[in-house]
Order: sequence, then C-alpha cells, then structure tokens
Amino acid sequence: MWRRLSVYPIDEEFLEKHRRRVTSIARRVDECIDTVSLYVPDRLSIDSTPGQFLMVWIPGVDEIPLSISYADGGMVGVTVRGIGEATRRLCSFQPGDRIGIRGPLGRGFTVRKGRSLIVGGGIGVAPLRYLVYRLLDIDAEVYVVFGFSDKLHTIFVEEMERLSSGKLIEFHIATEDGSYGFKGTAYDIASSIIREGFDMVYVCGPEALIRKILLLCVEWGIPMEASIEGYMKCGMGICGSCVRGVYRVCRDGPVFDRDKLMEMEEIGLRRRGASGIMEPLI
Amino acid sequence: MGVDLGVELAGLNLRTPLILASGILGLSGRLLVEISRIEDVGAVTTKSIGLKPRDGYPNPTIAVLPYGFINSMGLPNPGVDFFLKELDEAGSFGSPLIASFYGYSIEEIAETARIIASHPSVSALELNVSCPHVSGISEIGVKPELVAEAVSKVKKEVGKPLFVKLSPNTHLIVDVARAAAEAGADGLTAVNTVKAIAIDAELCKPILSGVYGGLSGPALKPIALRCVYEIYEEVEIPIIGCGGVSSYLDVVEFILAGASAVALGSVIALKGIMVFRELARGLSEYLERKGVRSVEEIVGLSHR
Repeated sequence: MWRRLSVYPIDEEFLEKHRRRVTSIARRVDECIDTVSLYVPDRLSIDSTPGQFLMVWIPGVDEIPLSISYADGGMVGVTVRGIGEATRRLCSFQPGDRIGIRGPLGRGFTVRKGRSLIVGGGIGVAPLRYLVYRLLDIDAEVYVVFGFSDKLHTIFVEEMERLSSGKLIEFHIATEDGSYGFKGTAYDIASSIIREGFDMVYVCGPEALIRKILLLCVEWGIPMEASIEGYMKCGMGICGSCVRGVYRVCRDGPVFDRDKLMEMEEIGLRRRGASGIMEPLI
Repeated sequence: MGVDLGVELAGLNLRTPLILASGILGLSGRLLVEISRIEDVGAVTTKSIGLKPRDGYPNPTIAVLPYGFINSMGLPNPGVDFFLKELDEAGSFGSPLIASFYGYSIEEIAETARIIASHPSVSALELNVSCPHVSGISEIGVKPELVAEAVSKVKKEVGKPLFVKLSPNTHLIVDVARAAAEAGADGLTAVNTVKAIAIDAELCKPILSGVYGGLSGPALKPIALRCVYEIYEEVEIPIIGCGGVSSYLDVVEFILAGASAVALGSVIALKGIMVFRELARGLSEYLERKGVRSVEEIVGLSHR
C-alpha cells in the first residue's frame, strides 16, 4: 500500500522477507546428541536457494542466522547444534514452541548440472543437505564427503547412505577418531578424490577446512563455492558487523566463490567478533 | 551531466554533497576506503567509535516497518585503538573520512576526539551525542550546556573540523544547535534517529532486545527536514541533513531547507551502495533543469 503512495522505497518483497514471522514449530528431529532439525511451515522459503539462511528469533534470548537445511512442500527446516546460549535454547524447543523467522536471506550456492563435489564438516553439513537434494533434482552427478569429530556427532549419515543407493553417486564419511567410516577428516578424503576432476566443489564447515579446500581448488583450477560465517546483526547489509574483506556476509554472501574468498585473505585465519574487533580463528 | 556537484563543507572539499551516514557499513576500514572511492560519494562517516570496545546489544537489533527501520544496535564498535590500527591498514581514502565518536562524559569525549583526530586519514570528526538507545549518550545531546562544554573541550584538543550530530528527541534542538555553534563547532548533522519501539502482536512483547531503538528511513524524513529548516533559521554553521533520504528529490528538499550536504543511511539497505550514483545524477539533472550552476546556490533557498 505504501509503495503505491510513491517515493517510499521499502518495497513489499523486502518488507515481507524482513518482517518477523512468528510461527510454531511443526516438527523436531534429533539428529545426534547435540543437534536437532526444526521444521516450520513457511511460504516464502519455497523459493529459497540452498545456502540461503533465515534469521531465527528465539524470543527473549537472541536472533541468529541459520542456514536452511531443508525446504519442500511449504515446510522449511534448519539444523542447529547446541553450542552457545541461543543454539542450546533452540535445541530444547519442542513442536508447538514459537520462533520468529526472517528470510530467506543472502546469496546461496549456484545450483547447476555437472560433476559436483560437496564437502562438509560438522554442523556445516546443514546447508549442504539441502544442496544435495536440489542438485539431484536437476540430475547433477553428486559426490558427497562429510566429516565429523566422532560417531556420536554424525548427522544426516543414514539419509546420505540411503540417497547413495539411488541417484547420489558416492557418499564418503570420515570421523577424526575413526569411530565411524574413514579415520581422518573430510579434507583427507576430498583431497584424494578431487583429482578425479570436478566441475564444481561446494564447501561448508570449519573455516580451517574451507581454507584448505579453497587452496586446493585454486591449485587444481576448479570452481568452488563456500558458505562462511560473519557476526550478523541487521541481516540486510547495512550495519556492517558481518563484513569480511569488503563483502557483507549477510547480503553479498553467505556463499562466496573462489575468487572472492581468496580476495578476503582472512578466511580460516580471523573474523570480527561482536564489537568489530578481529579475532583469530586459529 | 552538466552541473558540478562539488561543495565546500566546513573546510572540507566534497565531490558531491552525498555522504555515507554514520552507523552504515562503517566498521571495516577497507570497506570504507572502497566506498570513499566511488566517484559520487562526497565523504564517508565511520560507525561511532568509543574509547573502549563495545559489543552492542544482542539481536534482534532491527525491526523493518512499511515506512522505516527501528534499530537498536547498541553502539557496537571495536574501540579507538583497534579502529586506528584498522585505518592504518585500510589504504588511502578517495574522499574525506569523517570519524564519528562518542563518550560517556565530557572528559571521555575529549580524550576520544584527541586520539581519533591524530590519525592522518581522519579529515573531520562527528560527535555523536544523540544515540537514542544507549543510556549516557543521548542525555548529553539534549542539554545545550553539556553539548557546549563538550564542543569547547574537543575544539581545544583538536584542530580538525568538528560536526555535532543532533538528536531529534528534544524540543530544544535549536538551542542545542546554537550552543554547539557558539562553543566552536564547525558544522551540525541533523538528525540522528527518533526514539521508537516495535512490539510483536503474537508474542505480546517488544521485538528489540534493547526495547528502545531509533527510527530511520522514510518515516523520519519530514521530521529531519523540519529540524534542518528550523536550525538553518537560527544558526550560521553548515548543516549535514540526515534522515530518510531515499530519492534525489529528498536530497534537493534537504538542501532547500538549509543543508549543505546530505547523509544517506537506510536507503542503502534497499538500493545498495550504488544509490549514490542515482542520487548524484538526479541532483545534477535537477540543478541543470533549474538553471543553477552549483549546489551552494540553492542551500536554504526555501527560506528566501
């Protein structure tokens, strides 16, 4: 209505995305001892791209960015590991509990046909799960490598194993302590199969992993995209708190291509905290 | 594009009268440098910097309304020491850098000003005494005598131009403006956001974690425009108009009301950083259509 009144620039699409939609959790799935997936009905997320995120409001606690881990049939899902106050609180939520959401926000992965290698570590596998489904929808050749600390912290493993008996070409899993799958990291497996040749490598996980895969892809000349984190506040590209290099993670990302990641220089090394001070990641 | 948009503002030479407002993307030195090099950008302003780092408030820190934004960031900033190091590594600015700063007392304001102004990249200072959601800051900005005291202390320490960013949350805005001018301020920025809140009807609770926030965007514009108009009537020093500018016509209106330059904030969320280009083109075409040769010719024209 306001838009029709003329010069007012807050267009309906922007407003719709950013107005908090308070909604009840429809389904909760425990993925492992400290990780849950929460699903809510949401019309706007139907058109989301894997890699995009929601700002999830836990009333009275915080509002945090979470990658979309599933979207289909009018339902959107996020997968969260209880690490800090807000994520732990969210992990305690049951069906019927209310959260607010904004989104889908940011730029996601480029979903295109070809030989794709998907590399995820820890909770970083969340957006990659959604990406796997979208890539399989368009009949891309999908190879997946997931790494976790140990068997107790593995997530989406049964789901990927089930998919790999169908359209998914290969699924590899590594645990650092060897309690499940290959003993080692996702990088160890990815670096050995990358020489088979891929059209695109997608990564999400600890920044140390992203950095190593990034350097590997530069060396091999393979296109690559990674989803990274920044300390987010506004989620709409004006406050500047999530800026890395000269890019806003919330608006220009959170998915960036190889060249932009290289340009940032800081990937895997340091990141701004709440005050804007650069904090070391290693 | 015929008309040169260059303006002189309190001794600063600006390519255009369009300034990046404080609080918008102004945390990263590298990004500020990048923006300052866009040819239609007249100057850039940092996020408000304090003596010590500050985390700001937990989220939610912003609420989007059909007619504007309410933000309650809570002045997050890395503190002067880190910020100056960031500027050291940022490279050279393509247009003047205005450093916004704050303090909880007159002494702290003066000390922060002295430290920030010592950096060679800083062309001017902007004293933030008007943040509506952090207690201890806005209280200073609504008292003419405190603002005067802060300004004269800072001017004793610092030779660079000093702007004071005014609060619209007082009926004394003209008195504060006059007090700042008489104490030696080189310019005024009018205005900061209007104190506001947002409530969620489903949860029956305030949305912002800090409860109170500042309203920006189109809803603020007519109020900000009135403030600029009122101040121009009474005070001689130049004014940076700020509040809800979304189109080149808004820029023109602020200049006609008495602003020598105009700062952009919320509109960047909607139109991106290249909005500077759109507004500069529009302004230039307007001046050409009106047969005016410089921005200065129409500053305060609506009063005559």
